[in-house]
Amino acid sequence: MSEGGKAKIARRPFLGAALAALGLAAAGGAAYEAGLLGPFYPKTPYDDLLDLLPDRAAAITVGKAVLAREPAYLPKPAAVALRRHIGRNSLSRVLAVEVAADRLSEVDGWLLPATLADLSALAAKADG
Amino acid sequence: MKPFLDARTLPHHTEIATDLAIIGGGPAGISLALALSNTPIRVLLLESGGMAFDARTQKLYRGTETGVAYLPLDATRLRYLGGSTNHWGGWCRPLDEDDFEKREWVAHSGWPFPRKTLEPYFARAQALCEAGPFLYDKLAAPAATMAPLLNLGAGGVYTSFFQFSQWKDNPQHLPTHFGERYAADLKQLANLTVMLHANVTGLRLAADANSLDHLDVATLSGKRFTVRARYAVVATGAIETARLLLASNDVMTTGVGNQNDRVGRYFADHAIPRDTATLVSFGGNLAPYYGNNAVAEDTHFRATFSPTQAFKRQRRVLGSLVTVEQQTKLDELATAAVSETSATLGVDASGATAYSLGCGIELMPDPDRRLTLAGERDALGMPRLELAMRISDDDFARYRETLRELGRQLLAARTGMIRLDCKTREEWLAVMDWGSHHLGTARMHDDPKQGVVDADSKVHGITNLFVAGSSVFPTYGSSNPTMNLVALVLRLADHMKGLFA
Ligand SMILES: Cc1cc2nc3c(=O)[nH]c(=O)nc-3n(C[C@H](O)[C@H](O)[C@H](O)COP(=O)(O)OP(=O)(O)OC[C@H]3O[C@@H](n4cnc5c(N)ncnc54)[C@H](O)[C@@H]3O)c2cc1C
Repeated sequence: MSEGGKAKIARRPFLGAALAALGLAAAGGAAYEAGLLGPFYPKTPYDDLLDLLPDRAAAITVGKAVLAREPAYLPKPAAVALRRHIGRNSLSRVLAVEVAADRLSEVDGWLLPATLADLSALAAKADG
Repeated sequence: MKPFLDARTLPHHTEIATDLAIIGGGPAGISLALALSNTPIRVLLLESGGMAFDARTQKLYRGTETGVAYLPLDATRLRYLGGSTNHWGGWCRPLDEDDFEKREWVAHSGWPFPRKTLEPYFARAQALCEAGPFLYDKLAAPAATMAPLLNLGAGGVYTSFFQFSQWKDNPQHLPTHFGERYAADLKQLANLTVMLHANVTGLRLAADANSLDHLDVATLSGKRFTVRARYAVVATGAIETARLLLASNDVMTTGVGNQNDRVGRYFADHAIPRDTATLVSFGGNLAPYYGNNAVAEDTHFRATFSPTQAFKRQRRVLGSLVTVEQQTKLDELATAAVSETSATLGVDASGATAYSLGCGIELMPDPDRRLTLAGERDALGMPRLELAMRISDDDFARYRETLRELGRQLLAARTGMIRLDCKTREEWLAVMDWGSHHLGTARMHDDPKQGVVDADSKVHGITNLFVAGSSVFPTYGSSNPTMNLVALVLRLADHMKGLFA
């Protein structure tokens, strides 16, 4: 294991001790484990869309694979189309309808609901 | 008990007369002989090999190939009593109704009769294959009591079931090797003579070319003799059947039954490319009966995924089956795809398990996928065969459509997802393999211009020559052939009884 790995593991008890001092041990620990204090993403013009994604880190990884086959991808029109498509519906509702209608995208062979692939691409683009 | 005869011990140029000659002692020939027991028909079964593998005899099966890579012709079948069941996998499943129908999106498709013509013979065929009670998709209920089925929700793909041949009392739990398994039963039959090491090298027609006059038979030890039979059935497997018909070209110069250039054409096998997809089950390990055989209701079975008949019709795809193979690891992108998709669908996939998928693909009937005689001759002087093997991009595309539907259903049911591992022709061919299910070289059709045999398996234009086995299948389905060809042979046996009545 690398030194970096050791350092990472060593941070958890430290963070736990610090939160305990604030009387937030249990909640803080759970939040840390659940990733609520996890990666920080700078604000983007697309956060209304990207906040729909429950696992942004995973979405960025998937999105990079989408962008690899769409080098001319433009985030602004993509976001406009996504907002229009999703409207006031919940993302899970939109995806369910898409799957029923066989609107799927292939991302490196993985079959995903089309909107999920589109959101992932936006997340990857926004991430730089 | 009547011991098997050894053709090598016969005097030179012997002439044998019989009512019915069965050429070939694989499951087709053996099932026919057994079905004709207790009849007054004197049956002679001529088998090229002996009771065990012999390299010299096996070499008679050698041939050459062009086109898409295929298995060597002498490695994809076995030439001794029991035929290729001496190394078969024992997978059994009856053909579907639509396998018999003319499908307007499948050129050259359709049998001359519907599935219900064959249905009365399935139970006996199943018994000969020792595959347990005839249950198949009825196994869903008992399987579900063992462990839950993977929920596919509604759609074009469903969980189908295969059953397996299990050689009775075999300590190694092998599938039934028809030769060894039924040798004692064959020896009991008063009306049957089994002759081993007897290679039929020619189907000799009468001068008017309307009937079979006699068979030329040879042994590798140099004996030559003649069999005169009122009727003969070629049961030598689909590849050798084409060779025997084509090479018997002394009276009909194009070969027996080949007046319309159909013999040897439409050769097919089930394409079984490996690792064509990855399936992730969000809920963790699949029930053991997906990746391996399990036992319920006195039968060995395995669950697979198949397109429904409605889906085949609607999407104009062909038959196929999807098998769950090994557990596999996911790379970074795959892990992300699973994590993101499951989280968005609101499913806990923390224990998700991934599997590689295998398959069996029905091919489009193709007249140019064919066997022809080659220049080279074997040790008995028979011309060897050349196989021109082909598979079309459409064959792959249609199967991919079914896999895609499976993936769609898993997402809809929120139980899993799929990666399609092959897209380009090169990717498919790189993982290509074949089932060794030889089909279609003497296809059945009412119209002699379109087929070699009629609906009774009689060679068009020849009064007393029949073909038994999967060489007569005009369309193939995705089910493994043996149980089906045995059912067809049992039907032929009934027809034979009528001829001799
Ligand atoms: C590796 C492998 C796995 C398989 N797995 C399955 C499976 O799981 N399920 C399934 O349904 N099918 C399976 N099959 C296919 C199955 O074995 C065949 O469908 C079946 O054996 C065909 O039966 P047959 O009697 O028509 O021909 P064969 O089994 O080929 O028998 C033909 C017989 O004729 C004899 N013969 C050949 N030429 C002559 C001649 N000129 N004169 C006299 N005799 C001759 C041969 O020696 C042989 O005994 C498999 C095949 C292979 C190779």
